[in-house]
Amino acid sequence: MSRIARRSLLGGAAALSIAALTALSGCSLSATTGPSPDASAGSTDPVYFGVSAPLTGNLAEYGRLWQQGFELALEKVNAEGGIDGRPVELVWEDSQSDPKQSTAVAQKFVADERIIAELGDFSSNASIAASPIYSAGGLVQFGFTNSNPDFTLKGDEYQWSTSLTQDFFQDWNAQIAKEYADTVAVVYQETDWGKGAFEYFKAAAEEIGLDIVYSSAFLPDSTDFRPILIQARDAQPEAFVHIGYGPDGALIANQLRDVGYDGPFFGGQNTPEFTEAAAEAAEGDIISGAFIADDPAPEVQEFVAAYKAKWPDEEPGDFNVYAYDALIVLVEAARHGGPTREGVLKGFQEVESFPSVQWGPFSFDQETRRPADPQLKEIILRDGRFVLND
Amino acid sequence: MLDTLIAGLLHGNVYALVAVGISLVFGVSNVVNFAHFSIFGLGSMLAWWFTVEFGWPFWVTIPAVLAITGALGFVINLTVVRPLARFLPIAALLATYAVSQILDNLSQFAFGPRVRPFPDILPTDDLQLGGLRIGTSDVAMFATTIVVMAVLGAYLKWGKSGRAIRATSQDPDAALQMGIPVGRIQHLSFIIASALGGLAGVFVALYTGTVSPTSGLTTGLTAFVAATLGGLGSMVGAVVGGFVLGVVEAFGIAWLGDGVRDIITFTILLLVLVIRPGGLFGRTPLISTEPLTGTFLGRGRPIRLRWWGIAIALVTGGVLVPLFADAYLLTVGTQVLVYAIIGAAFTVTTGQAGVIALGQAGPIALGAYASALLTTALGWPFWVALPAAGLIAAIIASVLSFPIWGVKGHYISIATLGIGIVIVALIRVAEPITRGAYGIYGIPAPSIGDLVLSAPLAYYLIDLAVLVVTLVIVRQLRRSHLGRVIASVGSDEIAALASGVRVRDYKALAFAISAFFAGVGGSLLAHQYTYIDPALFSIPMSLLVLTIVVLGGVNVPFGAVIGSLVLIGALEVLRVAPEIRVILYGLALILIVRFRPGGVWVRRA
Amino acid sequence: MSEIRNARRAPQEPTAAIAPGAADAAPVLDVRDLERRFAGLRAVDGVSFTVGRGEVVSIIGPNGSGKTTTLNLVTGVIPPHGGEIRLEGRRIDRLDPASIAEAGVARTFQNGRVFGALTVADNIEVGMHATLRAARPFRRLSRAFLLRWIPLLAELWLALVPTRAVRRERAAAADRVEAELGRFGQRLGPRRDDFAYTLSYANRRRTEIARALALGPTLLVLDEPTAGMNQSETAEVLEQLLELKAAGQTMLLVEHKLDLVMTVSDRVIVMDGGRIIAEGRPEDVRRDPAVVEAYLGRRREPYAGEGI
Repeated sequence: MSRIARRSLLGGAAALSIAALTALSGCSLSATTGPSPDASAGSTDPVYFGVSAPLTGNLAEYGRLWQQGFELALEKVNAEGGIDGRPVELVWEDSQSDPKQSTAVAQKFVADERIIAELGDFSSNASIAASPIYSAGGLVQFGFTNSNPDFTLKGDEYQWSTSLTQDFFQDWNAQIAKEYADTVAVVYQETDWGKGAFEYFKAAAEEIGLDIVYSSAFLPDSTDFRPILIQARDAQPEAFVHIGYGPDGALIANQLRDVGYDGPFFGGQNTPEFTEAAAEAAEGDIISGAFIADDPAPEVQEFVAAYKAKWPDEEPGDFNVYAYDALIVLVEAARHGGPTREGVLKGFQEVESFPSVQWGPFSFDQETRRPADPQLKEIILRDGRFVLND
Repeated sequence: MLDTLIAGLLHGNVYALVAVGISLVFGVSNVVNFAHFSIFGLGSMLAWWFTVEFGWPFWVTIPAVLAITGALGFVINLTVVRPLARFLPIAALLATYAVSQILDNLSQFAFGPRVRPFPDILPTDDLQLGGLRIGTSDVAMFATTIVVMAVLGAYLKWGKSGRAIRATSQDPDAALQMGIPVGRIQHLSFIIASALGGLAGVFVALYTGTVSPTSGLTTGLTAFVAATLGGLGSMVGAVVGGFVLGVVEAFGIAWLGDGVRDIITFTILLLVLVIRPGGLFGRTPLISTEPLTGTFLGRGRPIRLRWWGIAIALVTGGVLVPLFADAYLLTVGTQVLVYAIIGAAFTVTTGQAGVIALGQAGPIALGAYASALLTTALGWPFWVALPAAGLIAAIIASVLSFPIWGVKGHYISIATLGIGIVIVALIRVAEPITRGAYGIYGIPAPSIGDLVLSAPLAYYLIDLAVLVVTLVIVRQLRRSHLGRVIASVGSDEIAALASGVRVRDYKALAFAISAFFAGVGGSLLAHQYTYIDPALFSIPMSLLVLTIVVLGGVNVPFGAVIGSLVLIGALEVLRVAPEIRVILYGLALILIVRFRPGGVWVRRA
Repeated sequence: MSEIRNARRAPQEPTAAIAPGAADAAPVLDVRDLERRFAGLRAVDGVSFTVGRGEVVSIIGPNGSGKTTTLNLVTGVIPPHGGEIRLEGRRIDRLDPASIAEAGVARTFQNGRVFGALTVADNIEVGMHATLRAARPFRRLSRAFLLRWIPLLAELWLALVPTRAVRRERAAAADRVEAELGRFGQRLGPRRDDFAYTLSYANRRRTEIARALALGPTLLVLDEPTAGMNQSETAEVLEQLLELKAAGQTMLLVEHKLDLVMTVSDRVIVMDGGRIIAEGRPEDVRRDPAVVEAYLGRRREPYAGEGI
């Protein structure tokens, strides 16, 4: 066959197939709601929730903490009989909290008919990237650690979260700092949530007359903060504020003392990565806590006892509780609305009061799809442990 | 001021120790050993493990760490570097990157991902210097650096094998002819360098007070810049470069904040490479006297795709997959297509022009952001934003990279790494325009009139069409006179110049062409993810693109499709074993690079 | 004889052309007081000579005498530290190699440099790069700072969407490539579609010469064209050089094989220690005692008929 003839045949075949395909599937080029998996009533097949989380990568520690929290929650709900007698199981997928991968995970979950709701992802941007997919698939996306308000603001009815938003936290942080100082130096992570948080802190500080004498962003993977800490020290603030994660908090607290600053330090996280490494440097640190092990509330004690029974060498922390509460809430919603995708959504929309370790009974604000009127506790670092501040 | 200087020197000490290892290895094997960054991180973890878990005293821990890291260096050189370094230095670099991924993940798997405190074996804050509290550990680190330098310097100058190392570093072929056992020398250098890296890891653990399995890369890369600043291959240079970089970085951060740390570091890298690539103490590379030089990788005739092969590929990709694949497979397939687009055009730079560019994430980011901003902020339709994104990416990337095309040899690759990092950092910093670290949400899906094409099938088909167009254009280019001219640049620059080919200009043109399609790929990604932020466009993305083309054959555009299928498809298939997944990926990469370095889409010559 | 002595005594003055036929034409290549140092060592120390139109001039001398450096200076590979080089009256000593090639100087290299990743035919085609007009518009802007992108982008566009003029030029170029391949008879022809890295050494060198000739150079510079070749291959090269000479090609070569030099050259220049120690017709230079001394060392007895 001559070259030209061959080429035309090829081109023609390609064009034809693409055209035919497009015409045939023209309607399905637009995302539509996925089919709702049928949950046969009365069966004893497990009910599945999908978990999109970092199991590897530099946020893997949070995935591990989630695992602990979920394990405890699963034991509790399955001991209670699961959902309508069906045990609850989780399907885990490693996303490394990377938006590239969280979208692929979302596709997988949406396509898996057994999965009736999703938990995660850890960081807001990974969740937000996947939101359109979950919404299109009619799967509730429960981003319970996503403090970026855009997750629920820019999402739709399928995006829910028990995480409080940064404006709330930073408002509270500024108030605390003001009790101890009139001038502060602030360092914050150069990421979307870090910068957003700082903006809220700045606004709150301005309102209450707290003066920020020095501020600097820092890259999350930096390990030597001395240059900015020296600048911070030289500005002579009465207190120092850190907005970031546990690991960088520990480094910053320790190096802050090394450059000779003795004033109060506010920051870090209630995780072992912070408390173990910064015990001495951050003594007296006050942050907001959703959970503290010494809290006499019965649901807290139940949780702490269950945790210590399994992991006697570790201390339960915030991220264990977030996961635990999230699963309990999700199960509660499914019990109310039925173990289907629509049922879970119904549950979120209709249940008036959910149990939680963080706040006791709480309800969702249907507008923001986040907890309404949450109460934050003041916790202080003493001898390497965060305890309630009284 | 004084305190900042001291802080800079302290941190610079860390860079110096790591940089010495990098320079030592580079000097004798001409390879940038990415695994060094992991060995240094491993040194920290091992020190923690022996001291805390086993309770060993420090004077037992240190030799143990040295022994293990040294042995590890030997193994890496034996299995991975040496077989590749002589013929395909860039393949050796990729292989060492794979090793670093394996080591990091093994470390995470074994130790768990937590950041742990490192005990104060030596006090870390018992001394006062200026306004800073430093510790005996810092003094010990400094003293160790001096001692190591003195010993290493004396050994290299007067020791028998030391002089052999120097000779090998200057001219491996001549050294071989003089009877110097070059192989053994390279092993020795690797052992010494890796042991030094392990030692540096121990000191960094002391210095920062924490250890974690993933801490190597950032410090390692900065140390690499320090080594380049000092002159790759020069021990003295590495140390001086380390201290100088530490101080410059400290003052830069004090002035501009830590948010621009990476811009400072990599701008220094670029300045060094453009002004004086040999660094402070190294030799400026002269013209190469060997013929058939250039980074001509693929030895092997590319498998010619017959017309019926093309038909099969088209039918499979264009008809079968869309009909039978589910949404998940289509999403994966779309990723494969996008990276195939980027990779196929990338072969123009890597295979034809012979520039192994290490920073392709930069142009991809430019395209993604251009498209995102044009559609969200200016309301342009996707179909116009797509080619515009390519153009913008090509223009900005060309403007930013214009000084580097005169840089010689492998330094040009390092310069492209710097450019890639700087581009993304600039995007992050240009917050008023790009929203910086906040990212851009709600990037719209393509639409025709009222029909919004947001289903996975739609993305797949659009990307498939773009891929076909890309392959056609690249093919047309390769068969034209211009294509041959670009290929001449990659084969032998000296001969090309003598034939009237302005090598610098054609390298820049090749890069611009690759950047255009990288920008197009970035645009497609942006509209698929609907959310982008600067952290997406990372070094692993650059290396993924490079690995795809090496796998498929750097000079074989269609090979990028295969490479993309294997690497991205495999990444998804191997999802089944989460912690082991990355390790398997690294192993697969090493095997392919080791046994089929010309790429899978060539017939063995 | 006296001319040779003159040349020896006053090496700074430009040598008068003594080859027949060249005396009435302006020299194609005019080198004056060329200097180049490497870390203190004077590799080329005040070298002056000319090459006339249609002349074949060879440079010979012991190793390290500065022959290849002189070639590299003439072709722009390294910049001179002093002196002038003119091509047909135009100064080229400050130009980069690509511009010198565009001016009409083609060269081959000591080890035979070819484009390994290209076929033989494509190798030759690249040699024509400087001669293309239709595919390379706006050439005059190629040296300008920012504007050089205009010719580059135009070239890219025409490569993807060729005009009729470009297509015609491509066909003409293809014919030219065939002609150059034909120059080597059956040696290179059958290998025209093979990648250059698969070629034998001799074929590599043939490819290289073909590529250089594809330029249609005013001056052809050859750096040891027969290095590493056996007798029959060398004879073949000699034949080609004679053919080119007969066709009027101006050539400058560096060679070690004295037989070839003597046969093909109109004039021979002898260098030692960076300077020209003798210059003249081949048969004259061959007998020059200074030349013999430079190559072989001093005779113990004084040479008959000469007082030194």
